[in-house]
This record gives sequence, C-alpha cells and structure tokens, in this order.
Amino acid sequence: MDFKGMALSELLFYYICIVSGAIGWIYGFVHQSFLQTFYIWACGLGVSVVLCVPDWPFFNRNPVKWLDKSVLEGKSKPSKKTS
Amino acid sequence: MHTVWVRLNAVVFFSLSVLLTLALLASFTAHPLILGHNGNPDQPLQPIINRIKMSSLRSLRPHGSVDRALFSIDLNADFTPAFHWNVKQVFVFVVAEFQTKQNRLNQVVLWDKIIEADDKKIINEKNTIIKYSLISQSTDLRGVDVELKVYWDTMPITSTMTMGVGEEVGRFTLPSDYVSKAEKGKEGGGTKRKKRSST
Repeated sequence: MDFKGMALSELLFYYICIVSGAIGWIYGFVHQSFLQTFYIWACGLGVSVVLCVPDWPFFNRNPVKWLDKSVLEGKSKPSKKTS
Repeated sequence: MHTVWVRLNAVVFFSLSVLLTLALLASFTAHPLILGHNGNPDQPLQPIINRIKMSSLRSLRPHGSVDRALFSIDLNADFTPAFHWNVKQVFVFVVAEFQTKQNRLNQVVLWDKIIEADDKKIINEKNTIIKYSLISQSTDLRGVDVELKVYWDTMPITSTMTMGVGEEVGRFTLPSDYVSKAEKGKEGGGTKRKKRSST
C-alpha cells in the first residue's frame, strides 16, 4: 500500500464507521431497539474491515518513485569532497 | 497504516469509539424529560400498579427472639410503560413498611421479580405466598399496621439506575396474637395461640 492509499483507507473507515453508526442510532431510536443500532454498527465495522484492511489494488495507484541508484551515487561523490 | 495488523487495529478501535459515542447518546435519551414509554416524552416511564394487597395470612409466629409472619399477596401491575429502548430489565419488589417500638421505619422485602425487556410485562399474582417471610428485629409484630408497597429498579443498557415506588399501597393489620400455620390450615377463622413463654 502506498502513502496515498494509506490516507484513502483511513478516510474510508472513518466515514463508514461514523455514517453507519449515525444511521444505526437513528434507526434504533425510531424502532426503539438498541440491538438494531448495534447490528447496523457491526455491519459498518464489517464493511470497513473488508474494505480498508487488505491491500487492495486501488490503494496502490500512486507507487512511491524511488531515486535512481546512479543518481544517488553521482551526488554522493561531490558531497564527500565538500565535507 | 503500513501493515494489515496496524490497519485492523485502527479500524476495530475506531469503530469501538463510535459505539461508545452511540451508547453515550443513548444514555442521554434515558433521561425522563427526553424519553418516556415507547420514545414518547408525554407518556411517563412509569408502571401502572392496579392492585397490591395482603390476601390471606398463613402464620404469625415467634422464631427464637424474632417474630415471623407468612402470608400471601395479590399483585396486579402493568410494567409495559416502564420500558423504552434503553431499558434492559426492571427489578420489581414488594416491600412491607411498618413501625415498631425499636424502629420508626422497618422495610422488609417480601417478594421480587425480574422483568426483562423481552418478557411478558404484566404481573398478575393472585394469593401468591411471599418469597421471603416478614421478619422483625424482635418479637414485636403482633397488632402491627403494615403497608405493602411496590418498588422497582429500572436497569438501563447504558445509563444510571433509577428506583421508583408505586402510589398504590396495600394496608393491613397483623393479628394481635400469634397464629400458627397448622391451626390456620384447619380453617374456621384460624384459632389463635398464646405467646410462647420462652420469648
């Protein structure tokens, strides 16, 4: 998972948990059953575990571009002289 | 967020914080001003006590240094209005309140029942013998005026526990002399027996 994928995954489970919790609370309040609230909250947890925990391909669309090894070696030589 | 375990930990514990928030919000709704029966603030969260009375006396006897009375009660109550979404169960108990020379107020639990949210919420006890006999602290129960009251503890899922007492009171006076169970069984008005000299 790349850095942008991590940020996306975190935002995803934030919103899924909060939205499912809010929906569950309102549904439970209307139907006067806290068990319904708990079930909807648990669904939200399940969806976010499936969606945000495994390393799905859409979390890897911005791979980290490492510097070329030759570029690094080329830079290190003059830096040694100056020091 | 770089490994599966870190992400799993983050997801599970964040959603647990969400659940905690939901529980806190639900506990605010348990306040009587916000939520009455069935989520309706106009209906008070209070059971309807139709009838509480002593139906028949079984015995009134000295047990060593204390007096002990056994009788049966009638109780008719509807606890449906004592429930809303944040009530797990209600603990109902019948208390005898009386005054003796020793204490201005004695309270003795005689009978109890747990009503869970899924249970039948109407209590209809007819001539039910009390679970716990009425025991005083000394031999002073004869001729005592007793008041039977219905108390209840509301136990919510998430909130504070509250206790209530019904306005309906069952009053009766215990006989002025000891009544034995065996003699009462023969019927005919229940023959009375003299106080034991040992007490």
